[in-house]
This record gives sequence, C-alpha cells and structure tokens, in this order.
Amino acid sequence: MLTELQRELISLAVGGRLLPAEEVAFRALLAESCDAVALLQTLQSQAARLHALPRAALPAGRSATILRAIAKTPAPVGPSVTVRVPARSGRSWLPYAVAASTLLAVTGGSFWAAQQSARPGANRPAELAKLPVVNPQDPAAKPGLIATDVPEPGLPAPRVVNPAELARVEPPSGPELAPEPRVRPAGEIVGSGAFQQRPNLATLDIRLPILTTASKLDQPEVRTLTAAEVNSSPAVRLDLFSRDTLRGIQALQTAATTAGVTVAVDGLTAERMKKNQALVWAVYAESLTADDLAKWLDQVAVVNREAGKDAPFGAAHLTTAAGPESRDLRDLLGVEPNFSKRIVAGVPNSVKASTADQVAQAMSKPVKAAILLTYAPANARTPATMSAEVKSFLTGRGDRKPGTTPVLIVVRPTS
Amino acid sequence: MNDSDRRLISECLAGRTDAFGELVVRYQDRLFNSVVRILDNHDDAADAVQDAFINAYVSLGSFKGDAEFFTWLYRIAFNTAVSLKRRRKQLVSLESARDGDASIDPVDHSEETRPGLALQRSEDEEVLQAALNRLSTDHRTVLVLKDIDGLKYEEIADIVGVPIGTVRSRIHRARLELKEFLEPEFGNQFPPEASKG
Repeated sequence: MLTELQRELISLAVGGRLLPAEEVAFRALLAESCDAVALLQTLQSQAARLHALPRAALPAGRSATILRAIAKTPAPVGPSVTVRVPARSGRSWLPYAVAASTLLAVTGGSFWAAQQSARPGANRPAELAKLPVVNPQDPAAKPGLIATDVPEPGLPAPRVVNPAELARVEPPSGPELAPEPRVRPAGEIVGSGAFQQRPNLATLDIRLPILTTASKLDQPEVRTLTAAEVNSSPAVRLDLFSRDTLRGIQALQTAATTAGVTVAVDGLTAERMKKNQALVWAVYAESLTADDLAKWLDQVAVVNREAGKDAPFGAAHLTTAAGPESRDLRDLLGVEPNFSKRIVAGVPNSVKASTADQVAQAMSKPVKAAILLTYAPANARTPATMSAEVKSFLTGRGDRKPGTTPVLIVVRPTS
Repeated sequence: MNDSDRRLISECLAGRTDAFGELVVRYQDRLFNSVVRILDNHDDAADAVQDAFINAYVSLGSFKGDAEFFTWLYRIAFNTAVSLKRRRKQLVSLESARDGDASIDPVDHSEETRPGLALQRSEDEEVLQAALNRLSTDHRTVLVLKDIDGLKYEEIADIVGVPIGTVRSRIHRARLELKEFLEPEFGNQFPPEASKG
C-alpha cells in the first residue's frame, strides 16, 4: 500500500518535474514496489490520453467577430501614471513642517556664524577691551608690552596690557591638514575580495527507467532505448512483471535457449520450481552484450505475444543497476560484482603462447552463461556457498569481456 | 515575453490596432482548446475567449510585460470562464428552484447539444471529458493546463494565481481523482507506446 507521499512522488514524476533528491526516492520506490510501478503506468497512460485529445479550434467566423468587436472598442492607451494624492484629513504635513523649520534654523544659524567670523577683528577676544591702557611715554612701561603702532589722530591712545593678566597663544602657522592615511598590510583587512565570474547553471540530465510492456520489447523504438541504456550503464536491471511467476520464469528460460543463452538453474531453485512455488525469481548474467540481451528480449516478446491472453508477462521495467542490486547479488552469489564502471573494448594485449590452453578451455564453455536463482522472499534464497551451480557459474565466468554488461532480470508478480 | 509579442503590443499601444489582430490569430485556437476542456461547451468557450481578447485589448496599457503575454491572456480567459461557469450554475439553481423540480436539467440550445455531435467524438474523448467534468474547477483547470496544454508549473501558478506548491498539490490530487473516475472505463491499461520515464 502506497503512502500519500509516495503517490505524490509518482504523480510528480508523471509531470516530469522531480528534484534530484526526489528522483533518488522515486527510483528506489519503483525498484521495491509493484504498486508504485502500476500507479506510474496508469497515471502516464492517463496523461498521454489527455494529451492526445483532439485539438479544438475556435469556430469559424468567431475570429472575425472578435476582430470586429475589437475594432469598435476604444483603442488602448499606454501605461497610466498613478499619482498619489495625500489624505486631506489629519495633520500629515506637521512632521514635514517641523523638519523644514529645523533645517532652516540650522542653515540660517550656520550662515550667521560664518558671517560673524568673517568680519575684521571678529576673532579679537572681548577681554582685550577690558585691559588697562599703557602710556608709551611712560618709562616704567616695558618695551615689549607697548603697542608699536602709532595711533591715528583722533583715535584713543593704545592701552597698556598687564602682562600678569594676559596669556598669549600662538595662532597656528598654517591650515591644519588631515593626517596621512595609514598604510595597512594586505592581510589586515577583511573583505569580500574580487567577485569571480560564476559559471552558468548546468542542465541536469535525469535518466529515468524505461517502462514498457514485455510484448513490445522487440519493437524498434524500445530496442533503441534498451540498447542505449545497456550501453551507457555499468549494469542493468530488468523487472518483468508476471501474473504467474513460475510460468514467467519458464518462458524466460525458453526465450534464453532460443537466443543462445545457457541458463544454469540452482539446485534448490529447481526443486522449488518443480513444486510450483510462486516466488520471485532472478536470472543473472554478466557475459552478455547489448546485442545478446536484445536477442533474448526479442524472444521474450515473441513468446509473450504468442501466448495471447495468457501472456506470461505484463510490464517490463529496465533501469540502471546500482547499490541495491549489487548488495542483492552479493547475497545471492557470495561475491559482490563490480558495477562501478563499464568495461569497454580497447586495444587488445598481445596473446602469449601460454594462453592457448586458456582459450581452448574458454571455448569449451558456454560463452553466454546465466544463473537462475530464487530472489524473494529473502529467506528463501539459496546460501551461495551451498549451491554447486553458483560455484560453477562463478568459476567459469572468468574476467569480464569488453562490451559486456551485467544484467539482473527479476521475474516478479504483478500487484 | 517573446520579442514578437512585445513588438505587436507596442504597435497596438502606439495606435496600430491591427497588431492586436495578429495576437488574436496567434493565440485564439490554443486558448479555445483549453477553455473548452474546462467548460465543456463550445459556445461558452468561444464567448469566454472573445471576452478575454476584448478585455485584454482594453487593458493592454496595464500589461507590464514582466510575464508572457499568453500567460496574462490565459489568466483573463480563465477568470472569465470560471465566472461564466459560476453564473451558469447559479442560473441552473434558480431555474430548478422556480420549477420546483431539481432533477430536470436546463435546456441547452448550444452547438454542443446538436444531435450527432456526440457521435463525432471518439469514445475515448467522451469518457475523458466526462471524467474531467467530474473534477472540481480548480483541479480541472490545472490538469488541463498541465496535461492538455503542456504548460510549466510556473506558468500555471502565474495563470491560476496560486503558489507553485499549490499547483503541484492540485495536479497530484486531480490525477488521482481522474484515475478513480477512469478506472471503470479503462482499467489499468498501459500507455499506447513505450515511454522513457
């Protein structure tokens, strides 16, 4: 049973808008839940149907009606300018009036002060006027303290300054200059630094699983998609959904034989098949190329179509195998396959004479080998160390050949 | 906004009203196709589209140009369509109350009820439209914009006037509701062709 969040995730996937984190969750959900796959297919089908609805066109003549109506309508005018009219009520002008008055007072005061300081003698302290008058003819007067200027006629005589009462400050000799800025070492200042040119945002290419029906696995467009997936993935997983998994796995074996793939059956798994147990089966192969797999899947499609209404398989779901599949195979085979990278065809090494025996040995074994095992429930899996067929498969597989892709095919029941 | 639309709008505002005619021709069918799926009535949809174009023409001066023209046009059209739908619903309700028999459907003289028209539609289309009609207007609108018109979530949010999260949620609920309505007809059939994703 799917939760509301899971259903929403599937629904969003149909819309094609998943965030990277949602994408991971979506793939995990598809891998573990048949209900999820079924819901996804139903919603995709529904969206495709809606999109395929015939396009309705505006009835003939209505367009002319619209144009005539528009012709009778007054022409539109350009963007209007909105003028804000202040509210009449209240004293909203009061703060502005206070601010203006304050500004005027400060400006006027500053101006007056500047005028006063610019007048001649304005800097003369008022205390000087109070100083006692000194007679220049008076021998008692000290020479340094007598004003040397000769007073103009009609002006009062200069007054003698009492040295005890006068303290004199030398005025600055020149305008006071601002100090030179201090030079700081580069490391002392903390700043953002120069902005770097940011690269443009990259487009995220999300690879979604291929969903189709088993009967269409041999169709050209599906084959193209499948080959692209197999050739671009380090390993792939194919889920085949079947109403009767036993019939499904038997059909898969038949298709494998026709396609030239030898499927070894684990002993315990063979016994379970004889007892008609409805389990989830898995076939693993790692010596198949994309062409080999395509031939096998072609046969699956043929077998499926020939069965008509009793087709053994329904949906098929192909995706890149990753961590969960690797862990499953470690459990099933006892060794963890390396899915980290593809082995591509490169320049072959020179063949030593001593390898002739190895070549001959390899040719005596089936090149396209696969092993059939019980996949689920997990407690029904054959322990890898107890299966002679698994050991034989592992011994005979040798090194992976360039161009081959590990494939895990799971035959599971539909919901 | 694309340059072509911008140019036509500028020309229209400058006094060349023929430019708006080009915009009408450009968007009329697309707009009509979406509105008719919401209203399920060709005449009403055509009226809504006509009103939308006239309203857009009158208000063209207030179009700021910070969104696509067709998004703005859609918003006007869908508001018109929803208002029309609401008015019709109220009219039906009043007529039913006056006649004292709520079970009788109002007589519809529109083109949609012309005999034989239903036969022209494919069976699939009939079933899908019937299921769409059972959705609420909000759900139907977002589903039509997404699945039939193929708009992005951002554009739908702009048209409907709700956040993107709400659009996603509405589309999700609409899909599930539609699935419930369609299951008796189609069952769990697979898509017509293989699809990636």
